[in-house]
Amino acid sequence: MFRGLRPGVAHRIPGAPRMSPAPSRSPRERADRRVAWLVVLGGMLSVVGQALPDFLAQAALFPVWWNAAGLLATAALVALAAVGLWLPQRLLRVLWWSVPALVVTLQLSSYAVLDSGAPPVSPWVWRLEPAALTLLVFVARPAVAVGATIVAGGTVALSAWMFTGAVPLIVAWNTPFHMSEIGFVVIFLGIRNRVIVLNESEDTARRAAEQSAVAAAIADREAGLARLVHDEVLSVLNAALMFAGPPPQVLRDEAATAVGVLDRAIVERDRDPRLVPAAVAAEQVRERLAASLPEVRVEQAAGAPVPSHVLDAVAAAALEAVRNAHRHARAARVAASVRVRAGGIRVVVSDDGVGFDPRAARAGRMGLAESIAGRMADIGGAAGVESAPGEGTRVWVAWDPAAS
Amino acid sequence: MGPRGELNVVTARGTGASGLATRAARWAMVFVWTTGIARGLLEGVFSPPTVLVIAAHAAVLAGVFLLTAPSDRPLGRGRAAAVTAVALAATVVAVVTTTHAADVWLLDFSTYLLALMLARGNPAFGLAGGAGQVLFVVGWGTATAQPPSGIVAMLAIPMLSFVLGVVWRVVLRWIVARERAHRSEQARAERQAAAAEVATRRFRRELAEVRAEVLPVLAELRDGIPIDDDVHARVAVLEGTIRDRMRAPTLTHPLVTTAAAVARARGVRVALLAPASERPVRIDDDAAARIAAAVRDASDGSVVVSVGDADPTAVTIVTDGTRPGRTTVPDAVVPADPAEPAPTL
Repeated sequence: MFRGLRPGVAHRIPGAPRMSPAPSRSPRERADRRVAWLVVLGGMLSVVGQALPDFLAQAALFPVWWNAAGLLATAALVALAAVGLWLPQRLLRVLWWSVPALVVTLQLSSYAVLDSGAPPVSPWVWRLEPAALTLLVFVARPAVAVGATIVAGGTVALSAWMFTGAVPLIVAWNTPFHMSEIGFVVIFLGIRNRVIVLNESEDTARRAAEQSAVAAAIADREAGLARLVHDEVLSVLNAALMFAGPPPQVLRDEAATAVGVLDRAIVERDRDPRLVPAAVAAEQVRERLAASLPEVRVEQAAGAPVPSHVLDAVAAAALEAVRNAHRHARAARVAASVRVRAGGIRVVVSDDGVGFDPRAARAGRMGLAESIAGRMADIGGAAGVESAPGEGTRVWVAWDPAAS
Repeated sequence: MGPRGELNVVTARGTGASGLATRAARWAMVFVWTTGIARGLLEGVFSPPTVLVIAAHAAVLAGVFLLTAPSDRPLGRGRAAAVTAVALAATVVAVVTTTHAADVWLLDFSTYLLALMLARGNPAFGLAGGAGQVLFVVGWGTATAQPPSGIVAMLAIPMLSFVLGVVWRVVLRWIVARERAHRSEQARAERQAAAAEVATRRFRRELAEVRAEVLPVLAELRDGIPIDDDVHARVAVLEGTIRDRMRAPTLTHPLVTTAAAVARARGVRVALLAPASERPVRIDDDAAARIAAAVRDASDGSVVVSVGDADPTAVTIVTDGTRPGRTTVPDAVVPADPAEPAPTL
């Protein structure tokens, strides 16, 4: 039975669309990429406002290769600011390591290559240090990043001391300032960690929302499927169990209708936006009910048209009320009336059968609760039952565009 | 709190108050302050020491502690006002104790406090303080006839710091907004549309499977094939199986479904009952094997398989034929893959 359904087992849906463009990178990669971009973007202020003016002033004091290496580090920072959001992660990690390494190397060599006749200077490459060293946040352990920043702040003084035997005052003044860049490093460590947490929690929330949306949509669809099978399939099978020998014509017609409904449902599109003129709508409902009920009266058919999906739902709910009357009411007479007015529709099915106490009707009964009330609720309509033991039953289903 | 205030809070929470709400940030800022003291000692700022200069340096240290409050929110009005007041007071001291316009560390550091308030989520205080600083420096420079180059040197780092503060704030907001974009109405609508598509495809596939199963019987009825015992038996099994799946989706398992069909074909009345579950659940494979064995063993009468009301993980099997009995299978109902709720039909 139901081989394809694999009852009770989770169903995989090959080729199911993604809910929304889920991030392709991990929360950590996204955080690193974006926060590092912020670092180099801020670093551009230092490059444009300080490093390049200093370079123009000091270019003649340093050899060409040293200046070229400094400009290479500058270009790498500019590239990270311009396209850092899109570069491959592996290349980013290479740059996040190599740029600080190059800057520190140039700082260490600065007083070795400084023109011997030049006055003491604060080498222009030193201006690249804040942005360059902060990049270590994204590739090194926090302690390494902090320690390296403090050490890097002292490399120019170390270079001067090693290669000239003294630390010029201008370098001594600037060294504490550069060591203080650990402030940036620590603050960006904090930002990075919090953004990773943010990204992880938002990923979790995104997945939960997607699962919730799918679960709700599937539950809605499955309720519709259950109604359809109950109304169109089970009703025929139940009827068949009551007969022996050649099936009566009414059963044959019901079976044919069920096959047709199943065929149509498979190719069903999403809610049909077509509007059906009032007269046509009333006639269509009358025809649907007339297959099971000779006495169907159109009381009124005027006003605005009715949405097609509303028409389908109302007709199906009313038909279920007719079937219930045939099955349970033991009625001498069952009749229905249809009224279409001002874009709304109302169908009443009444019988003179045994009746019942609606309050005592078992909650959740498929026919009444789902096939009638549930179906109407889905389209924003309403349904009601008026009955009492021995006094027949009156079921109404209605949809009002203003109310819905 | 208005929408802007809410955005400030969201950004602050998402980024740890722009990295400032940590103990490490506080002590790193204190370290920065000590490097300024070291620089001041080298520059002779404290020679001779004056109460005004020492108080100003102590005040900006207090500003550090106020700015790095360990809360994932923008500073409260009181704290923000205090930081602004401290920074402006330090600016006044830094400027009036200077004889010629040049880069002054105390002015730079007070600027950091104001610029970092921009990033932290207190842009009004940060910008107001920054404007006050610039106006005061320019006013002082004009009143004391300082050379323009000196004033520019004095304001270079403050101006860079404020631009950096704005960039910092804008980019962090972008980072947080981008991560939270899935919460927008548009994203919600896209998600629902995609979910509806998934559900529709699943509906059609399941309906096609149901159709394939019931079509032979419906076609026979439609074509007027006489209803004999064989047709009766097949219809009864088919009807029971479909009804089970509607009433007890939790209990639908290949082993149970097959056993119930075989039992029905023998004339045993089989009913599966399970309340609807709010979370996706399924029947455990071992439990399904035990339930199926119990259903298969029934040779007549009826078998009722139900998920317990008191214990929704237990399944009870009650038989009333020639071998009446009651069996409980504990821990039979287990969570299903939440990504794919089990079908109710």
